[in-house]
Amino acid sequence: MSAGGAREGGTSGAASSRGPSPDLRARVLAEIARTPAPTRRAHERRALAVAVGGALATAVLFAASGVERGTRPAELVAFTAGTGALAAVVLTRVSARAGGSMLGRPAGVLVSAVTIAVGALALAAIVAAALFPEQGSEVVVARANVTCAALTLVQGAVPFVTLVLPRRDGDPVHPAITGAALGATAGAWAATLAYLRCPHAAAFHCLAAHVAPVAVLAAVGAIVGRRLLWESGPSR
Amino acid sequence: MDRYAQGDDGAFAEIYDTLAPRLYAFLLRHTRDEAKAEDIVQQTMLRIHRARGRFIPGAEVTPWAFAIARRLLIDQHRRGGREVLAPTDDDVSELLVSMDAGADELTIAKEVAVRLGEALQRLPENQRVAFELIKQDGLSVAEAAQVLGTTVAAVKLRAHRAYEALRAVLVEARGGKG
Repeated sequence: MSAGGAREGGTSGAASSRGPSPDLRARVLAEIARTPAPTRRAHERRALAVAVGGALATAVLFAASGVERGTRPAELVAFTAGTGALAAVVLTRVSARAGGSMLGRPAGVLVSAVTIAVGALALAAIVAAALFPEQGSEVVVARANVTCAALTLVQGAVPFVTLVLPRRDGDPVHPAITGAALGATAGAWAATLAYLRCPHAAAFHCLAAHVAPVAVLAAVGAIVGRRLLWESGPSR
Repeated sequence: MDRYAQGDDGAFAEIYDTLAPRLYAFLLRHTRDEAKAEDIVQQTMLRIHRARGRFIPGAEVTPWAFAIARRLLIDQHRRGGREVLAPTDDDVSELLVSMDAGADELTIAKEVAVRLGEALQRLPENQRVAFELIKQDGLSVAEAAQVLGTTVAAVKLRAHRAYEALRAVLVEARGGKG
């Protein structure tokens, strides 16, 4: 078989003149015989278990907070939650699906997707408040802003863990950027839930408690991604 | 690799035989140390082994392996302090061949070597790496783009700029010889 796309030789002259020692081959083959690794089927089972666990935890969190329209018209809820869901679906497709490559999407694509998605969420919050001035001009107490932002962060943490765990140590190219994209993806799903459960539509509240946590999760994702999506040091 | 991901343990030897020589050449050029190069080849192959369950059916293995090796190399440089590796005569000869230099150019390679090596080192990192991956390691533009985590268009541009800069050095050297 071929190594799944590995080409023999190429144009490298160096490869033909200097090769690794035969001892290395024996050492590597002996080492992998000593350290069994999960096959695709085993990995898929684990990934499915993590995904089901994450989905259940998210559902429990969502059920606990419930859906509360308050004084918001259904159109306002549909517009804000719909924008959130659209951003979340696009980010999930871009960041969580690798596009047929073991190395994920190019950094520029991930950064653009996150920037556009967060920008769209912020714009939707402002536009919604402008389109529905009665709800948009509501005064929300600071405590409600903080509580709602904290809940959004908690609801985003669960899908974030679900997205990161199966990719552990799997991104040698740009782990921090991938982590940020996964954080923003989880944040977008949490923002969608926030627009369903939170009765407030004031622009400042939506920006501070629904959209800002997306940026916070992206930042946390960058830090976590740098450490978890590529673990430096000798192979364990 | 698909067979290996599905559980055919015997397929790993074939993966090793296809990838290891190319990875070793790439790593040796950057480390100038056979032991270090072999150590990173070993780590790269073990990481591929550990990640076999995650392998996406039909994905390309070569850019994945080069990306892992490159990251391990960077990690090692960071741990051991950065070292600037000047190109050897062998490297410069390979470079001249990769640039389709003619026989007369090869005869003055020793003199050109210093200037070309300096020009290569002066290139912005992203241009130099893109050029090396394509011209010296034999990766396609698409594969190099995956290794560097960028787009095909960006890699084409970087490699082209590097090529033009090195070509200018060659032309200047040829002109200097009269």
